[in-house]
Amino acid sequence: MTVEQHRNGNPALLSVTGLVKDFPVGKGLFGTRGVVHAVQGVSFSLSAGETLAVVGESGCGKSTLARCVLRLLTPTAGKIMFEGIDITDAPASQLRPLRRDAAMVFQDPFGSLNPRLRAASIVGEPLREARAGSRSDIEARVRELFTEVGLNPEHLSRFPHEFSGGQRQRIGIARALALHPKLLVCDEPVSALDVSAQAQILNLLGDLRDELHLSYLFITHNLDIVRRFCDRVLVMYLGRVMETATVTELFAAPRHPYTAALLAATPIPNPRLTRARGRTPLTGDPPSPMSPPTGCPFHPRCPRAQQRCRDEVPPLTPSGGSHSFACHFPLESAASR
Amino acid sequence: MPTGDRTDHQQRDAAGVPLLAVRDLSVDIDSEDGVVHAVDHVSWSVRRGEVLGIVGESGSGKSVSCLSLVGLLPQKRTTVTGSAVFDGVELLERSEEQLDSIRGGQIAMIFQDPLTSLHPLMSVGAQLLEAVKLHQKMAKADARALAVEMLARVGIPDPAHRMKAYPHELSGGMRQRVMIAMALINDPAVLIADEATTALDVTTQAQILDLLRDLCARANSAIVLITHDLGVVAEVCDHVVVMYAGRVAESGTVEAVLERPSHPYTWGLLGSMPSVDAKAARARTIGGTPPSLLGPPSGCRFHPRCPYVMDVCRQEIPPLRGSPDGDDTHATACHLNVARLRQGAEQASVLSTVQW
Repeated sequence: MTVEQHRNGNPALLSVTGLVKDFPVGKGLFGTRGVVHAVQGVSFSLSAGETLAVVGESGCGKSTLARCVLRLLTPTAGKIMFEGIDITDAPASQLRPLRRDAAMVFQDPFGSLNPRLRAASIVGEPLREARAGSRSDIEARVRELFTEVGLNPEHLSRFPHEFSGGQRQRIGIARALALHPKLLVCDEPVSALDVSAQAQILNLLGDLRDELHLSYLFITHNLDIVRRFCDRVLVMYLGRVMETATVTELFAAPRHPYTAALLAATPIPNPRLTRARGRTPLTGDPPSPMSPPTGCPFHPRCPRAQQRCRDEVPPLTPSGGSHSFACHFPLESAASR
Repeated sequence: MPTGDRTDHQQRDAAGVPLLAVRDLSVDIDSEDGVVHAVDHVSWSVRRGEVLGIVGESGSGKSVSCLSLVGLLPQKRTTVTGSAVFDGVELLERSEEQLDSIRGGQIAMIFQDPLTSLHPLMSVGAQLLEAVKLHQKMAKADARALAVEMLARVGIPDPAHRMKAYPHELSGGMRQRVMIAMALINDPAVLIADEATTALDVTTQAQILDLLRDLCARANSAIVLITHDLGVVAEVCDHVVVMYAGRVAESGTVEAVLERPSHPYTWGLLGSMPSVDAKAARARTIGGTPPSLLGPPSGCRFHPRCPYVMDVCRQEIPPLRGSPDGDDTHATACHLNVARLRQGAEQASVLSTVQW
């Protein structure tokens, strides 16, 4: 099914409007010293079966966004609808359906599994927590999940340290799938793995998407993975959306200078192409989200910045289809090239 | 940068003498479970002004081989054999004191994680000055000026002020730059960068890689870049050594290895790169996981994962010999016959150009 069909046919599985998350810093006797504006007014929607990538450098707010969506954090402002239900401020007691229908796969396969539990208890934990059947039902389901993610059911009683990194990530995925979720939020699921294990895990996630009709919110900084694995992309910088488009559109003709810089900085494993490409690397680091620059947050590093960028925050404007970008002086579109 | 007078070094380079030459290096490490054969008869060399990439997955022996050169492995538990000649001096026979004067001086290292490699309770300036004091006789004011200059050279804004900063006050990219400044402050002839950009964002990585290449060209030093990212290799390296389970699978110029790869493991690595075949529904993966080096597989260590495995692969270790492309600097350790290697190389090179 294509992205367009989803958009026209199915109602959004997840829709986020104007999401804001601030963190107070240095809270103490004398009040707060400042506020980190981690996410500043992000909106997007995700249909059933769709994979949306959220990309950006560290500190751009992509993980905070993911945690807000799953209500592991309570947003400061904005609205989150999951399957048509407003979950923005829902108390924990009303989040049970969300906990069943949405699950998370974490980045670090070493830190996200309890080292003292056997693999079977780790994978079975959500089932026990949700009281999803008798002991033998749960055992059978755990066994089934193990096979589904390509682990050997003989290893059910092993501890996490007895598995390789890739296998541990499979355990994390099995745990996330335990309650038949509709949405998987994957926060850098393969960045801690070796190249060959990365490819294996991505293939597994792709197969699961087809078989179980899953939707993914895929947090990553790796544009190569976005290109091969995702349908649509949200490019974030300092808590704001800089550009959003389908993967094909974004890679063919990025309109925001930041997206273009990210693409140019991604290494290509071909010496001739990579050296012929040439590039002007971005200078400096992203500014602190405690005191973001005025106007466009990207202007201090932007090669096209002008006075207007320092004064006005560019709004996210659509440019036909699903492509939108927030820039006063965008790069040329594919049509005019 | 001006080349100035031709020095001894440069004359030696012209004659093709490598600055650092590793021959038949083997490293065995005693562990609780037995002896780990981490590195097995590995050879490579690097000349001045050259960047050598060592690629492999975790546990392939790429870091251990470099640590063993400068005596940074626990001595009581490791056996290092072979030879490593640096500028005419055999490194493996040096005493601890002699190595102390080489490490951080003529041979410097940058480690992967800049947060754990910097001292959290010392200011950046104090750590830089310590590095200078160990290797150069210099007045304190001069050393300070040198430290500030180094920080400026690696692209840290407001360097004089940053001297007082502690590591936790700096971003990841800044910390990595401090590590590089510290490694370069004594003008090393060889810089070993172990996954120096892996923890960084792509934009910062691009800046650091440009910086390394620039320094290599300007100071005419040699860089050994340990990485698992073939994209990084394509970007900055001149030569590359592909390691698998402690042995060299393939080596040669970057053009040869990435455009005419002739080892099934290299084909697999290139196929696993997500960028490579974007239109294919699935990545071509290498099945299974790297072997334990406590009891590595017999014969070719890649044979349990190799799709082209033959009987001979299980019994005999394939020697490193010339690749089928006829390039005499390009070597492959594989039992497949020339026709098969050539065919695979064609397929893999098609893969690596798709989409870009």
